[in-house]
Amino acid sequence: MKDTFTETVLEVRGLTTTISGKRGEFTAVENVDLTLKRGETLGLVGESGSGKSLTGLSLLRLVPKPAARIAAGSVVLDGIDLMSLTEDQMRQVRGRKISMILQDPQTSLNPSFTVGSQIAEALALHTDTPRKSLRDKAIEMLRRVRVAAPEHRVDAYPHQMSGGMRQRAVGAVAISCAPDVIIADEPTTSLDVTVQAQYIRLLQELQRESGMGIIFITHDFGIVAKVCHRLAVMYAGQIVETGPVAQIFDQPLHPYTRALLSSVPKLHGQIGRLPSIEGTPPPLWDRPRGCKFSPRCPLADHRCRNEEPPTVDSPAPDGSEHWARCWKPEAI
Amino acid sequence: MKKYIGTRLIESLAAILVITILVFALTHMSGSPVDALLPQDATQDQIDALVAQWGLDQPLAVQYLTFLKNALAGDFGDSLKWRGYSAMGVVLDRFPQTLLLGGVAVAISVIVAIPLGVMAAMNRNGPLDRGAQIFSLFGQSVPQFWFAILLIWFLAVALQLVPTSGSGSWRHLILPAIAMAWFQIAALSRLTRSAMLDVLDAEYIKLARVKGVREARVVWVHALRNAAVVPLTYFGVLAGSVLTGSVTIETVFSWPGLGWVAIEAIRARDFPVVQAVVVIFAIIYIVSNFLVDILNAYIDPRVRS
Repeated sequence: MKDTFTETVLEVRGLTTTISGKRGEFTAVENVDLTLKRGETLGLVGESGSGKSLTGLSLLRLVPKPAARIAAGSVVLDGIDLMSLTEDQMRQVRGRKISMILQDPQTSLNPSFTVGSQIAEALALHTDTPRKSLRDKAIEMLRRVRVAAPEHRVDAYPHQMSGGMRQRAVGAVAISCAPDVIIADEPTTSLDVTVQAQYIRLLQELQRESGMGIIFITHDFGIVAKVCHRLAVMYAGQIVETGPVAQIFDQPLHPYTRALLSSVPKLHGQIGRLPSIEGTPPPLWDRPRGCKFSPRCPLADHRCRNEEPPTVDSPAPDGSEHWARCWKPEAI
Repeated sequence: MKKYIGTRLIESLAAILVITILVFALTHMSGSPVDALLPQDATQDQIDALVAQWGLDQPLAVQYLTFLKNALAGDFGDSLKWRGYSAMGVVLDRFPQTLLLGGVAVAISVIVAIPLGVMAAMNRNGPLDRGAQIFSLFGQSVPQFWFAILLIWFLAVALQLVPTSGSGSWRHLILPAIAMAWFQIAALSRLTRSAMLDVLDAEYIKLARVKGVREARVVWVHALRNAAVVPLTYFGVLAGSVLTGSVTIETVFSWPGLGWVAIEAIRARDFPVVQAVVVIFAIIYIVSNFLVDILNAYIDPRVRS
């Protein structure tokens, strides 16, 4: 985890995505700033409904239409602001420069097409691979994601493969055009633990080979500790704290991060009840005023409940960015 | 795939065999044809002679085997109503007309209903979707014969675009084909719409978009291929209803097809012809379902294994 990454590949500023529904229009992703360097893995952590996945989809401009809408912000990928592209230009960026691994391997491959043809489709779209060698390329991709007997699997249909194998195939689709950035949306949640560990190792190897940046969406701090270099904690649509993983694990600034960390079981910790966070996250259409976490925060006072908290910086010893959005950052 | 087709084939043949038993049993349960054939004051000798001639004095099992043997050779006996013609001859004479009308109606409905259903799903709750919904509601709730009469009144009588009834040219085909396709479009387009809506929410559709696949291809290839199984399966049922439905349409438009033959034969208790018609109907029904099963397996690899 001592790697230093210098070249910024993805810079997100002020990303705001709204959803309109029966309750009117509300903000589901608010003013999100993210920076991702080449070769780096950024963990995006939060409870369900905190806006992690929607943030991921917003980066690809694939928010569910017509309900969701990207209202503001810039997403600069490798020098290009994705928000300024036409839909057709954006389509050429997807899969080629930025890709995504979806959550559920059971359903994220098309059951009607062979695995090989689904990999080849991306290659045919974005590379000038001749038609004849598409199949060979697909086999090569399956080999890269360590699928056994790729020459046979290339003609298999998704239902003929195991869950772990399918998720590898989804990975093969994502890396097929060597994108700069991959968004992995809880890619291991539905895999069992040993397969999960293998898959995470695979992602790390692929990252070392290609130097791609990964945004790893998860709610599992164990995975964060294992794979992520930096961490962004999301709560109710906002990033409440971001910084290097080691730094945050050591000195969390935000009470929410602190609470999340203390609810993770530890191998050498005390025996007893795991602490949990009181209450539930607010529904996005009815977020509290001031600090969004204030209703559940043991430290919250009048100001927390009424005024939007400021961003508090507390750079890591090596000077890397670490800040939290809080009135009472604890570690300072 | 071969094994799958083999299994389906055996099932289909078994179904046809069961239908011959039913057909045989039903015609024998609906009263003796002797009463219909002979005048009321026929003598016992005349009756006995006729019974012997038709083999009606044999045990039922023997009668059935004779019936089956002849049926396999396409021989259902001579028509009682159309003297001098064999039952199969009467049926085969009219069959091409029904096949033509049914085929055109099915073609129209597929060409209209599938795109309509897909576009309705794409514009969910939009004006096109609402329009298609109203159209379907009419299609499924308005009786076919009444709609057929409206068509005649409007297109044939008021606008004089096409002949009111009869057969002979492609212009005669237009009204009955539209009348027949109407109901199918209503059903098929709704089914396509709901199947598409299910599929469009799937993760693999998201993955296709993540890959940068063009939206048109996402919809018409990635989604429709998976959604098609539902309307296709219903299509097997429809193909059958085209034939039975043809009874109404053929009557209204005086279309000389099998439906009309069926009605006439039933009225005259012409049981050889009724048997031939029913067996032919059943075979078409089974064959179309067999084809649909194979198409399904072709489209959806999960069905194959």
